Formats: sequence, C-alpha cells, structure tokens
Amino acid sequence: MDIGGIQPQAGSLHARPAGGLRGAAKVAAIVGLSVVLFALGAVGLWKHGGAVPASQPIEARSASLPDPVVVRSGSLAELISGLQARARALPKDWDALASLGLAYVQEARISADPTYYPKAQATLQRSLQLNGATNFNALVGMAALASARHDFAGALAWGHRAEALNPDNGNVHDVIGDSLIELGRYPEAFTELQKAVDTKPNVSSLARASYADELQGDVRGAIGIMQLAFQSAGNAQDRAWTLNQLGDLSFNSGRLAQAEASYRQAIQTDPAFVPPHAGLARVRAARGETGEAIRDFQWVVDRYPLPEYVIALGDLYRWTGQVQAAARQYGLVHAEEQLFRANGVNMDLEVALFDADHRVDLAAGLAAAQAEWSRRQSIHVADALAWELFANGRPAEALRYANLALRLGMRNALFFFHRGMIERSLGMKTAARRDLAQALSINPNFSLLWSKEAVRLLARMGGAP
Amino acid sequence: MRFVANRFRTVAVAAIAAVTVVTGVVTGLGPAPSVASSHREAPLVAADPQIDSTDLYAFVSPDKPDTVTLVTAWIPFEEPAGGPNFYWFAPGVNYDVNVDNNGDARPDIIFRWVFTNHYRNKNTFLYNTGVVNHLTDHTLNFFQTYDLYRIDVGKGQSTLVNDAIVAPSDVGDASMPNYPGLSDEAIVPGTGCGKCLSWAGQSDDPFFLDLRVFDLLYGANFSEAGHDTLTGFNVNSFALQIPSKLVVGKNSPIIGVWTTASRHSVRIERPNGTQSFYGPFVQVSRLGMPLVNEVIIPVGKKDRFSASRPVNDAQFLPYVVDPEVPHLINAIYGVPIPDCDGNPNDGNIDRSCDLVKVFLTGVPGLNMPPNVRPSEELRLNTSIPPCLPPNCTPNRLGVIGGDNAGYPNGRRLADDVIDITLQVAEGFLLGQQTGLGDGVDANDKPFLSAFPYLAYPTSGSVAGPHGPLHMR
Repeated sequence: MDIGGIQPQAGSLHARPAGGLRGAAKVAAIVGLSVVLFALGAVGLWKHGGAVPASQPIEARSASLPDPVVVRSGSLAELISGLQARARALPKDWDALASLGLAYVQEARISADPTYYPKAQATLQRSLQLNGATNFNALVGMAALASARHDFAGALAWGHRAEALNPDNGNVHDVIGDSLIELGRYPEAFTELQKAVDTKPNVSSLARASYADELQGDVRGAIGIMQLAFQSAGNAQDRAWTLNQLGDLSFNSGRLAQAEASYRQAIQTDPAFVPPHAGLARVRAARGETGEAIRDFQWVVDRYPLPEYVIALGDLYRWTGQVQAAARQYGLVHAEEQLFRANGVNMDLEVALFDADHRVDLAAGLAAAQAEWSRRQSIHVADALAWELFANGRPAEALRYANLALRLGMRNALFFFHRGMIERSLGMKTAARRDLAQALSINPNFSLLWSKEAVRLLARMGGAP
Repeated sequence: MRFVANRFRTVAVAAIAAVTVVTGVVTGLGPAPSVASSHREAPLVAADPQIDSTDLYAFVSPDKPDTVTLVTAWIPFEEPAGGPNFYWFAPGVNYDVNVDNNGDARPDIIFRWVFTNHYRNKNTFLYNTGVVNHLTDHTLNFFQTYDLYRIDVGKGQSTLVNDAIVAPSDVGDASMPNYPGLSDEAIVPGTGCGKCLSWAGQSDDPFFLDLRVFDLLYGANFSEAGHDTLTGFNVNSFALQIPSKLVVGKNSPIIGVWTTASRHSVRIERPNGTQSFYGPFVQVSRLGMPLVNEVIIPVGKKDRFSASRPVNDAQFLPYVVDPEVPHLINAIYGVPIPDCDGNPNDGNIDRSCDLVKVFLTGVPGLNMPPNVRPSEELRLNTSIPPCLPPNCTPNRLGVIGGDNAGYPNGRRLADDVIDITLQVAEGFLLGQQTGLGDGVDANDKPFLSAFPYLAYPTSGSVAGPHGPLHMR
C-alpha cells in the first residue's frame, strides 16, 4: 500500500519505526548502562532494568494526528554494519574507516552509550595510520570525538590540523567554530562560523550560525537562520533535528504554542527521534499537566537515558512531592556521570550545575566548576561556577561570574535567575528584582525547579522594579 | 559531481552489506542531541544530496537536430521502495546551467531554475491524499513549481518558464496509476526561446556503472565488475531543449557547458548590529565533464573544485597533466603509464598532448573553440549532426568508438563515460588500447526517444528494485 497518509496506524509504515533497529540499539545501550549501574552499586535504581517497555511513541497515542510520512533514510545501525563489512572487505579503505569512526561518534550521541567513543578512537586512529597525509575526514572525526568528550582544546587542535589539509571544507570550519565557542573564545568563534557558512551554506553551518545569533541575544535572527537550516536539510533526521531546535528556541523564549507546533512537526518528520518528545513533555509540564509530563519523561528516559532528561524527571517527581522517586533519578545522574567518565567524557560542568541545583556534594561540585573554568571560560561555565559559588555561600565571588555569563547578551532566563538570586543574597534588591523579572519575562517556564520560586521571591520583594 | 565520491562509497557499502542506502550521514555526523544542555552538538554533514549534481548531459537532439538538449540530474540514490518516499529540489537554491559560447571560460548565458514548495492542504504534511491522475489534482498535496530564467551575462534576464509544476516522485502504482502520463504533463513550452521545451521531475538515474571499479583505489581489482550499481535508484532531473542558434556564439558552433548550485549564506549577528540577514549566494557544487572530481581532482582539492570557476582552472592543471589513476592501474595490472614523450620512466609524466585536450580545451577539429582558454567544461560542437541509423550507428564509446556525436563531444545519455574515461586515461589517444571497463555497457532501463529522453523512475511499488547484487 503506497498511498501517503491512507495508511494504517503508525509503525508499519516506516522504514525505521521507533521500535526498530534504533530501538534495538537503545536496548543495547540501556542494558550496557544497567550492567555498569550494577557494578556501581546502584542496583534497583534502574526502573526498567534491561527491558524497554513495548509502549507506543507518545504521539502514536493521539488519534487526532495524521500518520507521519517520512522520507526514508537508513538507520545509523545499518550504516555502521555496512561500513564494518566494507572495512573487512577492503581493509585499506582509510576513507571508509574515517566514515566508520565518525558514525561511532554519532551512535554514541544518539544511543547515549559512551562505550562507542573508545571504538571511534581506535577506528579513526587506524584510518590515520593508513593515510595520515591527506585524510582530513579522519581529522575532522578526531575533532568531533574530542568535542563529544568535552575536550575542546583537543578538538580545536584536531580541527586546525584538518584545516591545514583542506581549508575549503565546510566541516573543518564547523568543528573549529564549535571548539572556540565552548572555549569561550567568542569573537574568534563567530569569525570562524561566518567562514563556515560562507564556505558551505548547509544544514551544518546554518545551524551553527543560528546558535551564534542565539548566544548574542538575537532570538529572531536565530529562528530565521534555523528555518533556513531546516530548508537545507537533506534527510528526515536532519530536518527533525532542526525542527527540534526551532522548538527549543521558541520554548526558551516563552513561545509555548510555537514550541509545541515545532516539536510535533519534528516527531512527524522522524518519529524515532526522541528529543522532541522531551520537548513536548516540558510543554506539558509548563501547562501544569504534571502527571502527563512525568509519564512522557519516563517514556523518554526509558529510551534515551541522557543525564539532562534523568534530571528533569527527578525534578518533576520532586516538584510533585514524590521524594523517593526523585531520589532514585538523582542517584542515576551520578552513576551515569561515572559511566561517561569511564569512556573519556569530561562531565565537570554538568555535574557542577546538578550539584548546585540539588544542594548535594557542594564542595566537589565547586571544585569541578573551578576545574572547568580553568580549562575554558565560556558563558555556560561562568554561569555554573557562579551558581556553585552561590550554593557554597560565596555570593560576592559568584556575582563576578554571573556577570561574565551574561557578557554576550544571551537571553538565557536561567542566567538571569541565577544572577538575581545572587544579587538578592547580597542585598542588591533592585538589581535582584530586575533580573528575576527579566528571567520570567524571557521564559516564565525556564526551570522545572526554579520558575515558581522566582515568581514567589519576586512578588515578596515587590515585583519588577 | 561534488559528492559523487560519497555516492560511490555509499552504494559500495549497500552492495556489500545489502543495506539501505543512506545519503546524508555517510561521511559526516548526523544530528545529535546534546549530552548536556550547555553543549549543543549540531549536525556535521558532508553529504548534501539536494545540491549534489550527479550528472550533466548536453547533446544535439536526435529528433530535432536544430536544437540542443541540456539535462542535469540531482539527489543521488533516491530509494523508491519501502515508502512512500518522495524527494524535492532545495527551495531557495539557484540551480544553474552555464554556457560559455566564446571559449573564454566565463559564462555568457546562465539558465537558472528556482524551485518553490507548495501544500494544497496546509493542515497535513502528506505527499498525496488520494489517487493522483494529473499534476493539478488536489490529491497531490505537496508539489513544487519552478521558474526558469535565461540570464545573458552583462545584458539582461528573461523568464522562459513561470510557475511550471515539477513531476512528482513515483510513490507507487496505487497512488499514481498512470505515472508516465503524469510525468509527460510536466513538459512545458517556454516563452521567448523559439520552440524550446522544459521539464523537471523524477527520473531513473541515467548513469550506469559498476561502482566497484572505484575500489581500485583501495587495492581491489576489476574481477567482479559488471552490475549496474544504480539499478532501481532514481534521481531528480531537469531538462531544457532549445534551438542551437539561441545558445551558440557569433564565431563558433561550439559551446562549453557546466552546472552549478548556489545557496544563500547568512550574516551572523555582530555586536554593532549592522549586518543584514542574508549573505551572498555561495557556489556549493560544480559539474562539467563526468568523473573529473572523482578521477582527476585529488581528495584534498575536491571542496575547492566544487566552489571554483572555470576561469580559474589553471590551478588544477597539474592533476590533468599527471593524474593518479594510471599510476594505480600500473601498480596493479602492469599497464604502462601513458606519457606524451613515450618515456614514463624519466620521472616526468606529461599528458598535455591528450588529456589536456580532452578535459580542458576540447579536441582540435572536433570540439575545441577558437582562442580557447583552458578550462573544465563539457564542450559540444552543435554543428555535428546526431548519429542516427541507418546512416550512422551510435557507439557507446563515442568518439573513441568512431562516433563523433558522442562523448567527449558533449555527452549523450547512453555514452559509456566510465569505459571511455578509463581507456582515455590509459592512453587510447596515444595508441595504447587496453579495452578497460567496468563491464556495464548500457543503462538498466531504455531511454525514451523524445524529450526529455530520460527513463521514467522506478515506482515505489517495485519490490527489490536494485537487482540481485544488492540482495546478497
């Protein structure tokens, strides 16, 4: 049956249904995680163990939506098995090995299974042993791998080596720009990303140009450029990714209805892509549909156990007074952190923010944030360090970093909230009222944990100045 | 053929492992979520199928010898089966066919296709909502239109075609019971261009080859060749048939043709806030002669070639004068490396006497324009009549097969450019006859006898469309 849309219910229609190959990869990832969690003594915390419940994707439960029609693109698992077969048949094919290494990096991100990182490293190194002279794709792969492990100085060095071989390649400028942004070297980063989009305007460079605008507080520009990135995306996966970003841009600027529309379009475009499901769960939470939001986040976490989603689920449980359930999720965060760390991923920044938010391991969290700041001075690290210093009772020092976090003019509600809380504790009432009001005006639903607290404190201080 | 190297790789993978072809993630990273919200990992794609020009054809129309037909194909490896699958040209991109009619390596005429997306029912993203019998049926929910412009560089611009409908992807027999009729409806006359005809839509991929010949680069040999790897894959194409007199220059019947795609750049916000949103159009692909970016241009220069203009082609001259492929074939098969001075062992290979003519200037007495500036263009002598039986027997090997109406004098759909290129690279014009080839001599589907000549696409209803090798 081939008539688009006149189809039975979703699932049978897709080349790669949500429960298909990618789902299998997910099972493997989750099983892998569970094993590690056992080893870490976290037995029993993993609610679903190694099994993925056979429930439908969130959107498939809603009968009102039309069946999605997707442009078929093969799954990453298929690509990887094909490249592996090729590498066996032609072991000297350095270019295929470079592609395979890149595919492993991508699989690690998609499956949230960091054990692919050591595999990626070995494969890329083999490719470079076969051809170290002209193999810029493997160098770009090494840059992407270092970046995924949050070694941004290393990523920058790999990127520069690739650039020396092929400055006309757009991806080279993409990875260099990524590194410079994470290192907090913004003027250089924006110059590099301008070069990327002027070398090859495509979904990669346009998505980064959009982020450069977002970082500088130009949300309209960021949305406009991300729409161009969507138009330039060549397959369903890239289209879904850009639509999810459009959803996030709308959500983070307080446009709930637009965010929901973008997330739904992303899900229609690639039903197997999990992040827009998390986006919709956030929208539900923002609308006060907490029970549904918990159910949806649980569905997301079962498939895609990224720390940020586990934290969100824990926060939702905590918000609804389910202290035990929240504690279980929070316990997972540190277990995951150790798993990522064991595979070479530096998690200092994420851990610091989590610890400060949840008032656990405050000394260790502060040390982590300081360590990260010594490596890179991005606005996100500045914000995490400020929040850790504040949590450790050092608001005067914290204020300096809170100001640094806002130095680009990014309209980030959480940054304004953090600075407002710091100013409040320093007795800077007007500044505190201004920043808390600013946070809420940018996005009244900026945090599951803190939005309501901001409203309460602001009202107690007399509202916006 | 900017990304055809990727296409080669992709299908080689598909053939070996019987996997679905993946365009878009092959040599790059697909979209990825962030491990943490503060570190956003954006896609890193090398493949960009919508601006990937796979092939360019230019030939004197066999049924209308006073016209030339220009055809370009895009979006490699469109998978028909397992869908519904549908493909479209990138909106907002300038798809150009450039014509140099005085040999100075600069475009004199640019034919420009610009596409726009439409949904008849904006409440659904479905491709079609029922059976489609005609392009204007409301059941064809998503469709594209295009405008075709003629730009006479430095003189002016005219619109040849306005809002013509693109023939849709053949999603299957139940949706589109008379697909050839639908496709033919997309043939439209142009205005202000004599009796010119224009068409855009989905077609069978007209290129035919066994991609495994390229495994040579990694130490394989030709022993297994002989299957058309592109069997059952479709492309998106557009074609223009136009009286020759409207494209040739004053002094010569020879035109040089190449296709490019250009996409808008943007200006990243800067603190002073003065930048406009859009940047310039940036050329992201280039294709003239087939296989140049695969066989001639080395790996680290392919991106540069895609962004380059023929007028600056002197930078690529060394790769034509001493290409890598004859060295590889020499290493594996012992075929002597051709050399114009007949002495390949003097440490200096020079192919100025044959390859430079074929690839950069045109062949004297055949398709070299007067006062030519060397540059990589597909050069067609429009005064050479088409080769038609009974007076002339078309030969898949074109000029080296004794048929001057074929490649490298322009390129017809049926010209076997893989075998021609291999044999010419191995010194055919220097008297060294190797008979090398990939074992695939014709397309898996016959071409049509009238404009746009391309075979209809493989339908979405066909099960296992790629032949036995892919099912291995």
